[in-house]
Amino acid sequence: MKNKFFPVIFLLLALLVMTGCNNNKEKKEAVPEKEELSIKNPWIRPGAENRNSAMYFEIYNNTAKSDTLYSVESSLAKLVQIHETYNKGNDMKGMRHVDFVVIPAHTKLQFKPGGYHVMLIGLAKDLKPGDTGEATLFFKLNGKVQVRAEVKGK
Amino acid sequence: MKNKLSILLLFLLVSGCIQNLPLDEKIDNYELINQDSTAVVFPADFKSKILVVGFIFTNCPDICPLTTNNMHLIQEELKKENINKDVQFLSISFDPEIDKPSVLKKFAEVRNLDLNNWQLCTGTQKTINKLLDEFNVLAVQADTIYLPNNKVQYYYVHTDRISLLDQKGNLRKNYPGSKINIKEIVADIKELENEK
Repeated sequence: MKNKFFPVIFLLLALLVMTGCNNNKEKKEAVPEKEELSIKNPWIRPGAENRNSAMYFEIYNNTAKSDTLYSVESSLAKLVQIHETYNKGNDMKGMRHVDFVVIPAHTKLQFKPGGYHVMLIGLAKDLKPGDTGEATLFFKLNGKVQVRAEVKGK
Repeated sequence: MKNKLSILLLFLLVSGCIQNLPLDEKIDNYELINQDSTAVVFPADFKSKILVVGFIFTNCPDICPLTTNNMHLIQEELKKENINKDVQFLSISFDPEIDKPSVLKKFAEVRNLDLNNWQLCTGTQKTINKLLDEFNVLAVQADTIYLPNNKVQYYYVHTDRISLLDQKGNLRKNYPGSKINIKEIVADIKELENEK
């Protein structure tokens, strides 16, 4: 009797244990991402003192409402503005100041080379690869968001 | 049989029409000055070298650094292929009023550019204008910004360009500087190597 049912009981126990583990895993995966606005992968281009540079990052708006980035402040430069690079046609490229950028609910917006960037105008000091710098992003709903970025690239 | 011959002829015709290096334009000589304040006659001083030429202004924070970074990537790729010594890189500024040799030198220094076969050049406005005209590169002053110290900074709307010149100083191909296909230009450089 004991020997006959032992494998069945063992299998049942093993199944229960496995199911239990699996449930735990599911519970872990089921935890929703934080409903917040966050900045990821920030970086800054190198630049020489008194010259210009740019800061890039990704804005994740994981909230239920659109938000607006309307200003950036940093001690890295004399003047800090939100800019975008645009195509002018015939292989021509230009760059212009934009007053604000809207990040719709549950979307990601990239500040990337050839697109939106934070323009650091008149750098306070040389920014070389490996250096770091900070900036404060101002959002209409989410307020101030501090960003620390490494200098990299060419 | 006739059909096969027709297809072969059509293939040969199309292959002949698609050229990797579509241009062969003689370029005049221009007196420039490099980041070390050394006089340079472009392209005459670099005869026997393949030239990769990028057009930039150093106040540009986005497109021109992309072009510069792409030139760096080309340089690194050529080092791997062991043909870097046959190629000379040139960044030519179209903003000579701001981009003095010391500014160009600093631009290279903070980016750790390998200047062993890379020079950054500028010239008089007249010379630069003529050079841009010959390369069909446009650079028009656009947005102006006033800094807190009342200094004015201006930006250019400009052609996004890297050009490839052969060992005789002839223009052979143009590419979009910020979006250049590195593999394509490396293959074109190898083709120029074989033309020697």
